[in-house]
Amino acid sequence: MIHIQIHERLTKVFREIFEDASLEVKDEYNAKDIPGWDSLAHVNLTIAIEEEFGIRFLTAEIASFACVGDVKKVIQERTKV
Amino acid sequence: MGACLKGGTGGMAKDQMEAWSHFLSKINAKLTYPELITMARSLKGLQRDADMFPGDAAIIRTKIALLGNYNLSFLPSPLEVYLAQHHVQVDLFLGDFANYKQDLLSSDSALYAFCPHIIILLLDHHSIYLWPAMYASHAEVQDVADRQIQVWVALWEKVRGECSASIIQTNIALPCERPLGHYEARTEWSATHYLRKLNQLLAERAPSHVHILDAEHLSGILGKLSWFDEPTWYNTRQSLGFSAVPTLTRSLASMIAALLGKSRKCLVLDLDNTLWGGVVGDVGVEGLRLGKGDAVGEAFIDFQHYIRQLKERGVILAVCSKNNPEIARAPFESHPEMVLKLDDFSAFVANWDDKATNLRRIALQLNVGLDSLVFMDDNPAERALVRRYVAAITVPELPEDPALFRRVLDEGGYFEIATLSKEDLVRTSYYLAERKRQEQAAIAPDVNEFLESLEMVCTCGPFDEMNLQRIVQLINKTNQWNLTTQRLTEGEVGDRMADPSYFTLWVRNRDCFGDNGLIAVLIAREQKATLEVETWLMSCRVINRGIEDFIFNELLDEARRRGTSSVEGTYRPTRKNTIMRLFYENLGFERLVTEEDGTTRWRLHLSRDVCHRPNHIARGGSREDEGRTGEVNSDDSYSDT
Repeated sequence: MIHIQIHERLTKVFREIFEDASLEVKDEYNAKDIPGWDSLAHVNLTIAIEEEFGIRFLTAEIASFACVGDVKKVIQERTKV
Repeated sequence: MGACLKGGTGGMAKDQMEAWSHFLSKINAKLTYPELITMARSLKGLQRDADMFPGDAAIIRTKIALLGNYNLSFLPSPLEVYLAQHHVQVDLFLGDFANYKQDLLSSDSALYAFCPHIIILLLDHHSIYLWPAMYASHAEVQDVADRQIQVWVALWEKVRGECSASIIQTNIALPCERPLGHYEARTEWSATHYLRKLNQLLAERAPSHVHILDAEHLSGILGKLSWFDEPTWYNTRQSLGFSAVPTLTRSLASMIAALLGKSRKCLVLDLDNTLWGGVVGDVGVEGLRLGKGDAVGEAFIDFQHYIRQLKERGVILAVCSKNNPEIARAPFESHPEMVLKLDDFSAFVANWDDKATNLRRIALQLNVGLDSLVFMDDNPAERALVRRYVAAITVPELPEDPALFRRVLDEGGYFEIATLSKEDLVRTSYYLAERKRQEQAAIAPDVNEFLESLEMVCTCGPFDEMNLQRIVQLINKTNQWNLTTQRLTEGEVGDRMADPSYFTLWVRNRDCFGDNGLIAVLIAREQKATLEVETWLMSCRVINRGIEDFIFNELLDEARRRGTSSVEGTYRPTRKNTIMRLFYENLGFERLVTEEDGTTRWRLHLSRDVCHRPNHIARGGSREDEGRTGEVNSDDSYSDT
């Protein structure tokens, strides 16, 4: 999947989870940058992303995500044709 | 469409009502966890805008504590969505999952300060720390299991001593992995065998205030490979996979609703292509697909068998069909393979009016709330119409294939019960007797002669263990003939039973058409030289027979025995009990005060001229054998071990 598509669909998920229709998501963002990104929201976000892209993250991947860019990389990897 | 199509909206704005019915129509068994999170958000919005549900359904608020040995923080939102379907709103206490035992065992815990109405205890196999050793003997395995059960017993007893909350506890879902493979099934010390034993012991030992949520069954229904999800467990300490969260919280909501008396009571069925294949008006009784030798016909037969099992355990059945009445009745009368008979139905409505109107009629006729009805119809247009115009009625979405109807009805959990009493088993016969009473009323020259001809007998007595479950059931589900609509848990009723300042009374009634069972409950408290009525309610099946006069006389006698100078009472209005508004006034009470919410308080001075009220009821039975008279006994609570 091309980067822009991933970005758009990811933004949609973020906007839903954080209830902010104008939220812009940057690659370097992490939990500190978005209000309401606590441990509960984090899991909800992970599950919503898995659902949106039809993938399942590995246990180790979830533990290693440090920023949005990391998540995008894994999605890109998984959705390669 | 008839003018009566639109029912009361309870003063709710039209767009709000539509938002609510749209929300409710989206709740189903197929929702995913992310969808439920989104819905929980819209629910919060709806609750901000209106503090009631559309239609005639009154909202119940309750306090629930969620405890368990795994991370429960993902469960509240989905649970709230499914509870909304039962018109229940909750204040939640969420326990720290590492500390559920400390919460339960220490009297000064935040849990008890919260005063929960219901405590939910969610446990999985990680919570079991006593396991049999390899090659343990039968006696050793039994001993380990007993000690594990004792851990639970201690928790249950502590809760019982600290508060009057009911407990819903899961049994243990058997994990997927079996180190001994199939050999576990016959090896007593294996995990499979041992957990099965624990579940069995849990069922046997749980006291009546502990209700079991069968997690082992649910995990099987969903599939254990989905129920358990190891990555989720290691990442979040929630042993359930997220695809199991909807399954668990939906069942939990049904059980909570059952404990609060919000389960549905009546199943209303369409006929053509719902109970049998084909349109009887077109193909005739002989042309119907119903019975052995035809795949579709067999599916309908099995569906009918399932419905009859529901009826036998107390679910009221009704028919709502667009048909000429004699055509609608024909298959019941002459099809040899019909399982359901006309006598199985407490109401039978077949005409050409719209179904929303007919369903309102059925609710009126049976004297149950619209929110007590579940309506099954194969026709999507009829379902949509009923949902739109009578949002309080539950209308399950039916698949095209009738072979799946039974499962959809079962999975809905609409008729979940917390206890099963003999009253439930004979309930449908009350409705049949009632039909005969109405016929007699039609031929009696006046009301007094009719009441006289019923040859009514009432027996009564103070609350006792034998009648406790039925009393709790009535307190928690009676809506109409109920002066204060005060809901109480079994523990709270038990407290009143043991406190001598309380006067408690149950009343049974029978007449020449049969036994009506335990039909009325009164709780009053003596304080400051008055006897104050806290709860007074009566089952709607015996309204207008003068039984309230009989009870008033009992109350009066008790007040005189105690030497109080007055009797006081309260009327607290709800959306369903307006018939009670002037009840105390009609008994000769004087109004003390009217509060802002419409609550009125009343007093009757016990001067010498206050005397018994006349009625047509004989007082039956001695105090000793009350509860054993009549064919409906109450020594029958199957869940009470």
